[in-house]
Amino acid sequence: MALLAAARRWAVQQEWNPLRALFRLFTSVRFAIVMVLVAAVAALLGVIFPQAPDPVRLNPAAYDVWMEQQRARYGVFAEWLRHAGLFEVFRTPWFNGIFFVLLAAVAVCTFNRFTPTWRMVRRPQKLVNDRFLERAHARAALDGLGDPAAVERVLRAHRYRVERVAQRDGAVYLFADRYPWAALATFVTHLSLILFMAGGIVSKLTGFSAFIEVGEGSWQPVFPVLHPNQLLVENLDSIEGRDAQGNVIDYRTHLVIYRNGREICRGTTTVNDPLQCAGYRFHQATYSGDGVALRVRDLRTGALVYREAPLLSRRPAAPSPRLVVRDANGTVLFDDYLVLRPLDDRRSIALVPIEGVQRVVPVVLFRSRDTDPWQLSVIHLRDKTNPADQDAQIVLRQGESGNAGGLTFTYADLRGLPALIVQGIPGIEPVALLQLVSERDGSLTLDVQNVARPDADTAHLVLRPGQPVQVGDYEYLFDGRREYTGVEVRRDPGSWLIWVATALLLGGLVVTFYVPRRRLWLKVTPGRTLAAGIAERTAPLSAEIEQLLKEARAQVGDAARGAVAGR
Amino acid sequence: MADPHEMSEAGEERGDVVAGVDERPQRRREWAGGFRSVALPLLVLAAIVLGVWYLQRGGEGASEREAGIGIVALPADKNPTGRPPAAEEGRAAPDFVLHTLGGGTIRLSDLRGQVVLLNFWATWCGPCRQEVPELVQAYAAERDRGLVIVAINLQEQEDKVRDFAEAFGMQFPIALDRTGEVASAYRVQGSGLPTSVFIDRQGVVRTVRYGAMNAEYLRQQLAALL
Repeated sequence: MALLAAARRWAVQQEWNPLRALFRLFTSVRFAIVMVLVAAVAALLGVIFPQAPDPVRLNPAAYDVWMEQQRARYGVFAEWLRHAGLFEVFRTPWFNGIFFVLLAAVAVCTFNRFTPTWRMVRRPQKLVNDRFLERAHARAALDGLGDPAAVERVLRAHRYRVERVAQRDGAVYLFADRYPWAALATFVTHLSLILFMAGGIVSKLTGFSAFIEVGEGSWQPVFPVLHPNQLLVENLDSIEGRDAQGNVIDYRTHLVIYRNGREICRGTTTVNDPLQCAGYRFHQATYSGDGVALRVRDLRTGALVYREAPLLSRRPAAPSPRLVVRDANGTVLFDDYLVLRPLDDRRSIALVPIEGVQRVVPVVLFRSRDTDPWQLSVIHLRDKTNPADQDAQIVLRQGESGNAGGLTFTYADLRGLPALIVQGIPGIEPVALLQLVSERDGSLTLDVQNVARPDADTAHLVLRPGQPVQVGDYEYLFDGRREYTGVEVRRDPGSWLIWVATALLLGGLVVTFYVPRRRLWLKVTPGRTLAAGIAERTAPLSAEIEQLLKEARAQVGDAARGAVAGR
Repeated sequence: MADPHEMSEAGEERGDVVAGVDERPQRRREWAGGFRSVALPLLVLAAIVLGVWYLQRGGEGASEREAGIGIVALPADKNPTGRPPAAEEGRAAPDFVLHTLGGGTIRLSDLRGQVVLLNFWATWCGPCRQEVPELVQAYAAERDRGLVIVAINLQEQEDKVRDFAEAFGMQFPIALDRTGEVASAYRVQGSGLPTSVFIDRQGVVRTVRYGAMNAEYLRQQLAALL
C-alpha cells in the first residue's frame, strides 16, 4: 500500500498521466516496430513447434495420445513446452495479447492522426513566409513572369485547385492544392491493417478446420465424439466426372448435413465450390474409388454381425504379377494377373491352374529388400507318372521368360491391387487380406484371404458383387464398390474481413503511391516568381514546379507576342 | 485576405522543418485528452471486434434442449449412496430421461431392481459397430435374469439408427441423446465411443468401460452383477 501511495504521489508530482503515457507508447514508431518483431517471433514459434490440430485439441483423450508423441520427441521439455503454450501458440493468451496490443496501437495511432490530417485536407495552411519559399526542399524561381493570372491558369490546367490568398507590396500570394483527399488514403491503409488483424483474431477464436473421410452411404461426425452442435456429414454419392475420352474432369459429392439428428442442409460440393451450411464450408478435398462394402450375416439368427466399407489402400498396394504360359507350340495356355497370398512382407504365393495340361503351378513373388524389384519364382513339380520329368525352378525378372516342365513362363507385367488388412470379420479371424480385383470383363471381385489360417474354411473367398457366399455359420456378401470423399470442413468467420482488408489495402496503396497530393505556395511579383511545394511522396517536385512556371511564362510570352502581332 | 507576414511567424513558432509547413507524420498525432486519444479508439476497436465475433457466433446456432429430456434429478429414495450422483464407480448413476426409438421415453431410475448396462454408441463409430453383436448376444442370454441394456445413441438421425438397429437385431431399448447432454454427464467427451457403464440393481455404478468390449469381458462383468 505504501508503495502504491508513493507511486501515486510521484505521478502527481511528475504530472504523470497513464493514458498520456499509453498514448505516447502506442504512437511510437519504435514500439510499433518492436511489437511487429515480437509478433513475428511468436508466429515463428508456432511454425517451428508442432501445433495440436483442432480435433485433437477438442478431445482430451486424443490430446493425451498426441502429447505422448511430443514427449517421445521432446523428452522432459515436452511438459514445459505445453505449459508455455508452444503446442497451441496461436490460441495462447500471450500470442493473442501481442496481437491485441498491436491492434490497439494501430487503432490509437490511426484515430489520433485523423483529426490533424483531416484539418490538413480541409483547412490547409495557405500562407507561408518568404524563408520557406527560398529554402524549401522543392522550390523554383523564375525571373520576369509577373502575371499571377497566367500562373493560375497553368495550375488549373494541371488540375490544381488555386486560391489567391494574399496581396501585399505588389506581390500576389497563391496557394495551389491537387488531390487533397489523397492524404486520407493512409487511413484506408491503416484501417485495412486493423481489419487484417481483427479478421485473424476472429478466425482464431471461432475458426475450425477438420478433415473427414466419408464413404458413399455412410456418415461421419465433424467434431470429435461429442459437441453441443455436432454435425454429421452423409455422403449420398461420390462422383468422378469424366469426359468422352475418359479423362477425369471433376470430382463432386452429394452431401447431407445433419445437426443433432435433424437434416439441416443438402447439396453438392466440388473442389472449387464447397457446400456452405451452418456457417461451415464443406470442401471436396480427396477422392478414392477403392472402398468395398462387405456384409456378414449370422445364419443362426439372421442378423447382421458385420457391415463395413473399408477403404482399400493403393500405397502400398498388393503386388499382382501378370503371368503368361505357353506350350511348346507357342499356344497361350494362361494369361492373367495373379492374386497372391502373402507369406510375409516380401513373399507372396499363388497356385496357378494351367488349363489344357491339367497342372497347378506354384509361383512365388519375392524380393530381398524393400527397394529391390519383385521377382517371380515359378516352381515345376515333377510329374510322378513320368520318370523322365524333374523338379525345376526358374526365377524371372519382369519382362523375362523361362522354360520349366515343357512350358514357357513369361513374367509380363506387375500392377498393384487396392488392398487392406482388416480385423474383426466374423469367421475370418484374426485378420483378413482384402484385395479388389478388376477382371478383364470390367467386373469387380473382392478377394478375401484368411491370412493367419490358410487351412480354415474361410481361407480364400472370392466374392462377386451381390452374390452371397455361405461358409459355416456366416453368409458373406460383397455389396459393391464404395467411393470415398475426403471432406475438409472449415469455419473461417474472419475471411470476409480479410477480403475487405485486402481491397482496402490495395486501394489505399494505389492512391498513396499513384495519386500523390501536391501543395504549392507561390509568390508572384512583377520581377520574380517564387514557388515552393510539398508532395506526399518523394518526387522530382522541384523540376515539376519549374516546368509549371515555364509554362506560365510561355503563356505570358505568347500573349505578349499575340498582342504585338495584333497591333 | 490574410497577412503573409503574420502567417509566416505562426509557422515558425510551430517548429517547422523549413519555417513554414509541418509535414512530419509524427506531428500529425495530436493529444486530445485521455478519453478522445486513447479510450475512445480502444472502445471503437473493441466494439468492432466484439460485433464481428458476436455476429459470427450467431451463425452457428445453438443446440435445442427439450424440456424434461436429458439429465434429471435422482429422487433421494433411489440414491442408496447418500452422495450426489456421478458417473464413477461406487456412486449413484446420474438419472436421465431420453426419447427412445419406439417413440416413448425411458428413465434410468425406473429400471431400479435390474442390472443396467448403458452403452453410449453411434452408427458411425467402428468399435461400436464391432461390439453390437456381443451386446445382442448378451441381451438374448441374460434378459430373463434381469439384464437391461440401454444403448444411448449420440446425436444421430432417428431413421439411420432404426435401420442399423433392425439390421443388427438390437432388441433392447435404444435411447436418443440428441444434444449429447447425457453423454456429457457420463463423461463420454473425454473417453470417446463406445463407453459402457455397468449399473447394479441398486442403481450404483459398478464399472465404467471405455472402448469396445469383447464377449469374454462382457460375460465376466455381467456374471458379477446378475
